[in-house]
Formats: sequence, C-alpha cells, structure tokens
Amino acid sequence: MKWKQLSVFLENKPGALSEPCRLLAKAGVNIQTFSLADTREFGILRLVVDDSERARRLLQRNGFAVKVTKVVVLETPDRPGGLAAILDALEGTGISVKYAYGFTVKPGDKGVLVFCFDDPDGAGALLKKKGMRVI
Amino acid sequence: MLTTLSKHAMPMIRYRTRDITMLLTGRCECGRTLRRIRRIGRRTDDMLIIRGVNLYPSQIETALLKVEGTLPHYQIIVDRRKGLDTLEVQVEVTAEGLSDTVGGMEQLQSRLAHSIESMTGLHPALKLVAPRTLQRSEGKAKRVIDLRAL
Repeated sequence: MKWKQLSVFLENKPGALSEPCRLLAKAGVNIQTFSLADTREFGILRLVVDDSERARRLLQRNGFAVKVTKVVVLETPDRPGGLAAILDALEGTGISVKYAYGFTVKPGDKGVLVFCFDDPDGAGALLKKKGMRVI
Repeated sequence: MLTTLSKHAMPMIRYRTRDITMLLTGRCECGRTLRRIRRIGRRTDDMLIIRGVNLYPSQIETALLKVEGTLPHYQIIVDRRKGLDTLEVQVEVTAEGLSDTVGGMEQLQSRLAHSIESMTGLHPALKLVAPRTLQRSEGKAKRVIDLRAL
C-alpha cells in the first residue's frame, strides 16, 4: 500500500510543534506516527496520518509549507533482529534508506516502521517479494 | 533631479526623487522618437553600505529569484556587532522549496547564500523562516531593517 508522509517546516522555537498538531486535532485527523528532525534553527515535522490529503490541505490553508513524500510502511515482529531482517533484505540492491522511524504497537508483539527510500516503489515491491509485511 | 527648463510664468521647481534610471535615445517600439527614461528600478536611498560594499535590495531579490524560480518573501536585516556590519537575509520557505530531509533544507540554505554572495560580494547569514512569518505591509513592502546606530 502507498503511504504518504507529510513534511512540515517548523521554526525551532517554543510552541512551533503544537500549532500544526492542534489544527489536526481540531479537524479530527489522527496522527499515526511522526518524527521530528531538528537543527539549531528549524525543524522538519514528518507525519503519517489517516487522511493525508485532508491534512495537507488543512495545513497549507493555515500557512504551513507542506511536502508530500511516498514512504514504505512495514510491520515487523517486536524482537531482536526485527529491523536487521528488513535491512538484510535490501542488502546489495543499491536501495538507500534516506531516513526511518518506528514505533511498537504492542510491546512484545509487533513494531511498525516507516521508511523513506530513494526508490519507494522498487523497495516496497522487493521487500514484499522477500516476505516482509508491507502494509 | 527633475527640473523645469522653461520658466515663463512658473516658479522653478526641482525634485530630487533619488530614482535611478537612464535616458534612452532612439526610437520607441510605438514609433515615438523623443528621448525616454528607462523604467525606474531602484533609488539611491535604497542603497545600503555594508562593510564598504554598496548593496541594493534589488540585488538580493535577483539572487533569490535565481535559486527559487519565484520570488519568496524575504527580509534583510543589517546590524553592527563588534564594529563589523552583519547581513542577515531571512527567507520564507515555500512548499516548492521544502524538502523532507534536513540535508535538503541545508542545501537550499547554502544555495541561497551562495547566490547572494556571488551577486553582491557579501556573505550573508541566511535564515529560513516559516511561511507568513515575515511582516507584510500595505503598499510598499518593508524589506530592509537596519539596526545599526549610524
């Protein structure tokens, strides 16, 4: 399945993160997972939400700079080697991970990982073929 | 300087507009052969002197335009720290310029800074700011904030 991640530009100052989150909350958009990349001056908030198109329009209308990126979302068992198995599957394919983040749904059960690859379609197909749970 | 050349019954008036332009000779596309003035692009009082270098805000505009394709909102902040002039250019990030990686944003930052440097000879501190955070003004935009106590 194709997941779309929204990247939002934020200034590195108190309260910068709460504004977009509050907007999404008010509109009933659920944030499924997120990651925050920061530098001294600015941050990039990466969001995976249940309705990316609506969230994008909402954020843009409220003055945020938003970029949509295709990402691959994988389910992996929550145990040692879960992430390594995914990376092993990509070994030698030339596909590069730009960044990734993840969370555990239920400890001891499974984890969900979000990957941004330089070639999302190729990576998604390949991982599926190798028996990874691409969701 | 604009002035009247014939002053029959009129008082002589001179206007020092500080506009910078050029006299154009030759025939206009519309067929007129009189002398014309070129479109006015800048004024002498727009000019900033930073570390002895003359800088027109329009140069910054051209430099930003080169990188982004469209002109983003920007603001020039000039200050003096420890006896040295500093030039900061704040540029609003647009959806087109946005990258999902920090590396991509830093690249944009340095491309903008380099473009300004090659256009003006001054190395600016380039700061990316969120959309709609720079002051908007009615009519003529206030692009320059000079904090130097000169």
